[in-house]
Amino acid sequence: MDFALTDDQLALAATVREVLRAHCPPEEVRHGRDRRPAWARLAGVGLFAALVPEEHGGLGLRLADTVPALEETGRAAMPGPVAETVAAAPALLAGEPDSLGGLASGKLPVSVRLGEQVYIPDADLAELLVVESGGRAYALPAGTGLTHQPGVDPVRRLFSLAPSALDAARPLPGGDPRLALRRVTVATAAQLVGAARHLLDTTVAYAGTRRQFGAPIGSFQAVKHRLADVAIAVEFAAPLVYRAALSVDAARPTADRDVSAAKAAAGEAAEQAARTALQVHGAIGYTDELDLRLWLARVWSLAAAYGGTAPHRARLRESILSDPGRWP
Amino acid sequence: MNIVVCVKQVPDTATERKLRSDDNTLDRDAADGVVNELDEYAVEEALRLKEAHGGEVTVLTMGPDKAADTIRKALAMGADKAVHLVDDALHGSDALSTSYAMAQTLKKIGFDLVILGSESTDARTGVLAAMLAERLGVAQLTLANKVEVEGSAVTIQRVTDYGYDKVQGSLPAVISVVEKINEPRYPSFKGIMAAKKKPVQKLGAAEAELAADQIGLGAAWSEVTEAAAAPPRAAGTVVKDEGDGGVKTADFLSSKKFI
Repeated sequence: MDFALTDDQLALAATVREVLRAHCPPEEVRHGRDRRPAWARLAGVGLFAALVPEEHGGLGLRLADTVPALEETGRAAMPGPVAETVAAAPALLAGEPDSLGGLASGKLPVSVRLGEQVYIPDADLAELLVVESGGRAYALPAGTGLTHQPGVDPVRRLFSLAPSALDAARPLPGGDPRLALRRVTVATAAQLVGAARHLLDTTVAYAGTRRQFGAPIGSFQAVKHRLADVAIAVEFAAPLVYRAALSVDAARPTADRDVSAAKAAAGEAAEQAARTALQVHGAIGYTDELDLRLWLARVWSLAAAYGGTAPHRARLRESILSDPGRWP
Repeated sequence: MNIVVCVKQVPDTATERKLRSDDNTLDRDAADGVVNELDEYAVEEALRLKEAHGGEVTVLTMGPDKAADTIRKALAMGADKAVHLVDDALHGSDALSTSYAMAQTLKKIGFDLVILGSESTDARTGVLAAMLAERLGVAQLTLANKVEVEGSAVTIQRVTDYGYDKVQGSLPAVISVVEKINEPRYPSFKGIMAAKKKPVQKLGAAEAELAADQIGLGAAWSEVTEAAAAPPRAAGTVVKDEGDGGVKTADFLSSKKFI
């Protein structure tokens, strides 16, 4: 089997990157959240139609095909429920042709509360909320019973949902919350990889210009090694994310294990990238004026989303140790 | 309407561009190749004309094998098919040779309208449109920021220093466009996936019936004999303010005749 990314997958990512570079610069991440920067443009190129079946106006792609493109949304720290709308929503709304059409056109941003997730990310930017309760999916009109919760990322806002709001919920019989959770977890891992790449690039550039002791700080081994460690962590995490996407697409028996490996590795790599970026930037890294903080906050927020590193590592360990094929 | 858009792969302007040490031509392997930015406006204009008037958009490029990436992008934007003129014998062609090779190919594949970007970001000669029109014996309508086609008449607004000229010609014609003309579309996911199914015809020098003595480095009318990097900027003079900083600054400006 060929595990290299295809030309098409890379071209999809390139077009997403181009759009985000032009329409979602750091100023937009900082100030433009509420108008969902680049959302309509990415809808135009078809990002939100990727996983929607062709008979409902989508492209019928696999999650694996969108992994590099989702990385780009993380690299740009794009605001809005992107992973939820691209990856989770098509599995949850599978029995709702009208909603699928809206999804494909990008006019129906969706956010979700699945599995053990407590809060709904970017619920205020969604038109439709889907929550899982007792293993089933329910749709809620956006805007009811939401309370903004304090969170680390001022752009990726978290909302709690009043239990009474579920009274107005409509069941989604065709929805598959388990598949949706797997997919959105992988999509979030892909965004973490993208954010980590951005942090690494930015920090390498900074280390090349910031001078101390008469030389760029990037010329000192202690700084170089830290950055090299981040590069290694990111390069190790990225293939695990791709592998997880392939496993989820093919519904392999190891899918849950692969998803956990991907989320844990991507979260660790991104948190290492964030820690190193802050360390190398020094005090300026903490400031409000520097854009770095937007990516630091996003990494911390995404690393905790859909299961943090520790629970995913635990699930991975459990899965490997209980596999009789490995431990006879 | 049969529209041919000429596109060129150029080294990414964001990267360092180098000349080859052996023959002082552009080192195309040293930098990432991207679509010449102005050509994206040409592709967009061709697609808009096709959407308004019907017909077909063909992409024509001349360049090494890796220029296929440029073709793929134009096809992903929505062009219908492509012709790739590729031959080692074309390496080092100057503007005259390039216009000869492209004109020969255009005669072969046929066209009603040829659209180009007004210049490339690497060579920046900006002469290819005029040369092509001359070689093909058709109207040249260059530096357009607006194009209108009605029947067999084509009208453009040519950007000038004082405003614009209205220039009219009849088809077939060659047009070059400036970046004010439109906003190029992004390749859509659908377009990207459809692109690989679109036909790309590869033509060598022999198939395009190019005379060997008219193309390549040997046929170039000028030769780069030597190249050197621009000298680094010299450090400026630092004036230390000891209460007379204003006077020293004024003296300096006065010595340069600014004041």
